[in-house]
Amino acid sequence: MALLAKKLVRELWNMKVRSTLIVLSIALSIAFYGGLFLVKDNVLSSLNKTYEELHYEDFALRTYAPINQSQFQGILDKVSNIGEMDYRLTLKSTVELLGEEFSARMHGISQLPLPIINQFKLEKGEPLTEDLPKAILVELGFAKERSLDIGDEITLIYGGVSKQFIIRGIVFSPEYKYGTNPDTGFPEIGSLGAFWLPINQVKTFLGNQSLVNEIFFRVRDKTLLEQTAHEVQSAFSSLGIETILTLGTEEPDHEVMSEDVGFLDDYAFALGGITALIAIVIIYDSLSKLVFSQKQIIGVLRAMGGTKRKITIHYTMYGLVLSILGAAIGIPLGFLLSIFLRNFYISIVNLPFVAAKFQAGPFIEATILALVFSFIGSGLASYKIGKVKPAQAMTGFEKGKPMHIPRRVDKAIERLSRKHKITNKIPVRQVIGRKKRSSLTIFTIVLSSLVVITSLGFTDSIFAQIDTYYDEYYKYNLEAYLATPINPFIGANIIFQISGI
Amino acid sequence: MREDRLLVKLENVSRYFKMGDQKIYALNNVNLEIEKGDFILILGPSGSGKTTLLNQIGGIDRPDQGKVIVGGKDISSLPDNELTKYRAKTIGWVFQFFNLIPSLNAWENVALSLELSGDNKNMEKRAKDILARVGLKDKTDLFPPQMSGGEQQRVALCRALIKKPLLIIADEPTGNLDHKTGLEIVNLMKELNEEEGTTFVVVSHDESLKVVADRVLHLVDGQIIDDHRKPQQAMETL
Repeated sequence: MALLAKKLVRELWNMKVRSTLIVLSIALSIAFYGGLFLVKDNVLSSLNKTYEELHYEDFALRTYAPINQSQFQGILDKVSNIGEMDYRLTLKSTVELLGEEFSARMHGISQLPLPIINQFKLEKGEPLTEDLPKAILVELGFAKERSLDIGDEITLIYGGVSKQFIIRGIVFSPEYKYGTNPDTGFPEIGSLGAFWLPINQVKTFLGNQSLVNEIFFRVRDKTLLEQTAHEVQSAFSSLGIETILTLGTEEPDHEVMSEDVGFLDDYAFALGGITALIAIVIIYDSLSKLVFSQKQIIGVLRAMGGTKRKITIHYTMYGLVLSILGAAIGIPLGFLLSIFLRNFYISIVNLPFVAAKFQAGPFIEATILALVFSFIGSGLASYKIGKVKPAQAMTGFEKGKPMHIPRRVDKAIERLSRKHKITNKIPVRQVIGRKKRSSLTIFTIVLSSLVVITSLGFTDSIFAQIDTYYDEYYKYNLEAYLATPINPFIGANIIFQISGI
Repeated sequence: MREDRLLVKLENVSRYFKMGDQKIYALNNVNLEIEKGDFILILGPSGSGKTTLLNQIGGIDRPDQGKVIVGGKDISSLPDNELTKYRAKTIGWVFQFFNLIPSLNAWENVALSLELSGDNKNMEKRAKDILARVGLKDKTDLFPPQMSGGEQQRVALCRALIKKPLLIIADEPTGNLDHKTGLEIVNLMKELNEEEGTTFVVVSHDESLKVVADRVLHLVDGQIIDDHRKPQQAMETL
């Protein structure tokens, strides 16, 4: 090993506390940045896979009131880009469990055991069959929160009609992975019951009429999605059926998920960036001190024929070596963090299967950034080497620079030291006189506090977001059920004429 | 003086520092010639300009006026990178405070000098051999804090010698040692001077070192006020 490299390794070992701090800061920076991006990538890729596997809709049309399915049978022939079409009857209802009532949505599906579009995964139990009129499937998150199991009885209420069903299966559906209420657009984890049952059973709540109110489509060419969706909506309109068009990516659950997963990006930048900044500050601070304390040695190296370049590289390597060590720790740490966060996501938002795949991309990016940052930190400190003259090797005692302390401040220090010990003057003058160094220390402390606060805020904010949704949008004072479905625009006209609403 | 024996020539060298409007001369119009193989002792009180003079010869400072010619080359006008090469190849330094690198052991400190001058062959063996020559055979793996002052200065001397420089410059090499150890170090230098023919320029406060020097210079207020060469040496020169 080259002798300067030996010197570097021994000196890093000698300043263990600082070296460890730098390595840890770099490691945390890489772990936060890489880990959070990785979990985001893993969550998104798992969800995308799920959408594909379960034939998630490309777009949906919802009618203002249930219509007869025979009215739109020929629609597939009119728009060539439609690959698949499915429909169902969905009623916003109430589920009663042990005397408590919750909002519910019952989906009457036309194809058994699985619909063509917006399918679900049976996590437990058996699929639906036509010969079991009381069988019903319940959504996984709601079942978990309300401790529902196969064979449990539930009561669904709609329009004054209540019916009992027996849970036959517990399913995961991409429509409710976040427990978002499609009406409010806000998460109601564990408080919104979604149920699937044969369409004929739902029709019994409406007097057995052959009605549907949700029609789903998958297109052949996704690039023409919006155009196709509007074409289909126009086709419905030409049949006298007014509808609300929603693209798959505009579904409330999808939007909440995008927002929720998307803010991992912000945290990756915030936590990764702040810890990287701390690392730079510590690297700069440590190397400045090292360079300052080794002025004589640098002078000797210069006097012995060491070039400025060689010596600057030597000291810059201190930061880079520590960063490489930090990366070696940070990458596995980040992967562990991503597994932990993945489990955290699975538990709070009922994502059933997020693969924990290692991807080098986020970590390479994080490592490059950390190396660049530490290069800047150590480079800035090593730059001072240029100012060290070989003649400095001759001096045995570093006199230091004179301190510039304002007279008034110094008088205050005088008064303080009269009351106490004269040795008190030394640290106070050091802090006030060495403004740059003191500012750097304060800056490091502020940044470190920011990391702690941001980390704590990370978990809190998820729950706080949900609380805000509840407080601001969801919690209602009054709920009214109509005996028969009405056009919402007509309903709104009536309701808003009542003062106080 | 015979031209082929001339190693260093200072021509009207001045170096001053400004204090307000005033110029304080550390060296004032100094003229000096040093021959190959000389063992020169420079004596003088503090602030007389001894170290400044060494800095000029050693290529770590430049004069404000005059020329410093070493081996026929004017080093005072060399660009920075050339001056660094000059220090690496031509000069060996011995400092008052030894200035060994605490994180390198004895042989590594010696070999570092080779590494910096780009001569990396058999560094360990060569460093250990030279340490053995100055009586430190068993101390090659010790770190500076584990050695006495005298031992550290021997290591520093080896560090200066190993690259076989034309000139070794020693700034107060005994200043941080007790008298006996100091004498031992100077005797060792003299021995190496005689055996290897290496030129030594030694700065000191210690008048007792005169006994080993071929030539003694007295420096006061930046000027050489006395230049005394021992008679035998003077005869040889003649």
